[in-house]
Amino acid sequence: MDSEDEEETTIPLSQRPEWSDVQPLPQDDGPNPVVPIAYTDEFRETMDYFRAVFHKDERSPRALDLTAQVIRLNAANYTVWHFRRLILDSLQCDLQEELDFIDGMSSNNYKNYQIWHHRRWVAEKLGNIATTSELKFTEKVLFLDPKNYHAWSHRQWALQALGGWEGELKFCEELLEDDIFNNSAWNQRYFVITKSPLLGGLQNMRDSELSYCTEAILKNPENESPWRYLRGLYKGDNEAFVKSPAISGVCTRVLEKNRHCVFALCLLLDLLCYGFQPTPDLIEMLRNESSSNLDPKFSNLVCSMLEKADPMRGRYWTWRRDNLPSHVC
Amino acid sequence: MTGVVWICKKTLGYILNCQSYDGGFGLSPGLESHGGATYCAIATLKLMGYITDDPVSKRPKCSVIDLPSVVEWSLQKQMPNGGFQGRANKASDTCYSFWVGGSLKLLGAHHFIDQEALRCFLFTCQFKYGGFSKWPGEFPDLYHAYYGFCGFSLLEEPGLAPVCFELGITEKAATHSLRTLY
Repeated sequence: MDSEDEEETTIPLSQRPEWSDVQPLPQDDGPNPVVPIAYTDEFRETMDYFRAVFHKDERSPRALDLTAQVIRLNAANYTVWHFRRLILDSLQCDLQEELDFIDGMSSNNYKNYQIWHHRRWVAEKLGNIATTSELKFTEKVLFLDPKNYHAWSHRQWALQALGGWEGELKFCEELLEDDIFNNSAWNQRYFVITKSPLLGGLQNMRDSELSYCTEAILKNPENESPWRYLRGLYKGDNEAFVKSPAISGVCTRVLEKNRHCVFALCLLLDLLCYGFQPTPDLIEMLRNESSSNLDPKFSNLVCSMLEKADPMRGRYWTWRRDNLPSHVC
Repeated sequence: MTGVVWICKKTLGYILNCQSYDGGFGLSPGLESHGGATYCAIATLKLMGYITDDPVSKRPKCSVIDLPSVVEWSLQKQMPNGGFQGRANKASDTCYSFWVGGSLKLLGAHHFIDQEALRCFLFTCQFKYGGFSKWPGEFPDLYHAYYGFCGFSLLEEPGLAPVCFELGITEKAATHSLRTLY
């Protein structure tokens, strides 16, 4: 239906016999257009014919072809995409073919909102038969741009609407192997362990995920993502957070090697705010580092270290120190 | 329940579900925290009245979202080069001076920003013939120019009008709009 005939695209619509019955409708810019756009002849003509079929509400194969031509000229024209959907519905078109059409439109357009919306519309109508294609498509896009927000959004939608969770944790792992700093992949990992119907939920996954992100932290302690992930594993469960030897263990191990690791100090401060009691060893390790600081309150010491280690946010760490809960040691 | 109250409650519920495990907000529940999404969340809550200024502490109060973690997430988005990134481990970009800086302003935490560093970054993004680009060395565009200016207004650059951050327009324009509406 949308097959491209090279010769056809160069013949103006006004000279094509199959369009001879249509009176093209020019754009109404009003009597004194401000900053009128210098459209090419091809663009103006294609839009004039589109306006004609749009206003007639003609839902025909030739109208469908025309929407494809307009989309090629301007893939962000949401009016045309909308009309295309009306035609697809009216003509009961093969939506698998429509997915092929979208595939063709996608390269160089991986950040186009209208294409992704259209793809979701088509996939939703197709249902489960689109599960594999949608995961494959987003995988392809993410291979080219591992942080493409549209692709991740579509992928999360597809998993929840169409399924296919089996390989998702592995998928995250592969992306993280490529780039341990990819925050999108970490986010997806959190999404999988909390939402996948196959893994038993966050509580069930917590221990194995603790090991995973600890390993990542130790490899690159300056990587913000696994630290946030680690904290996220205990979201809504501050009691377990404070009691977890693994969490304080990570802080200690990192601080042993680098007393200035901001994320370790920050997590330690968090622990303290929830009532964590540091071991004498930990206290001594940090006091030795900051021998000029004689403040008996350990949390004050941690805040001072943060002010020094993270001067950009110095005022914030000072404020934290001045607003610590009273029970904090 | 009136229609408006119902809409606000439903919107609030959606926004709450968009707060991620790291404190920032994503565009939909489950999606990665993003500076633009975080701004939309905070500004919407401000416009609906769920974030109110507490005259006693001079700090906004909001009992519905995890305020400390969104403040910390936002502050952490300021990079060593002084600019703000939109997501963790991504490059800083002029426009996030508004999206993230503006969020911090609405949360009463903008004084924690390293203002001098942000100012320096913004100047590196200024094109030699005017306007701002997302990164140093690129051609400018209206969008980054506008939000670059908003960033400077946040820093109280002399000669720039104050901005109403929940609407993203000047205070003067915001007041004028309200007067026109009512």
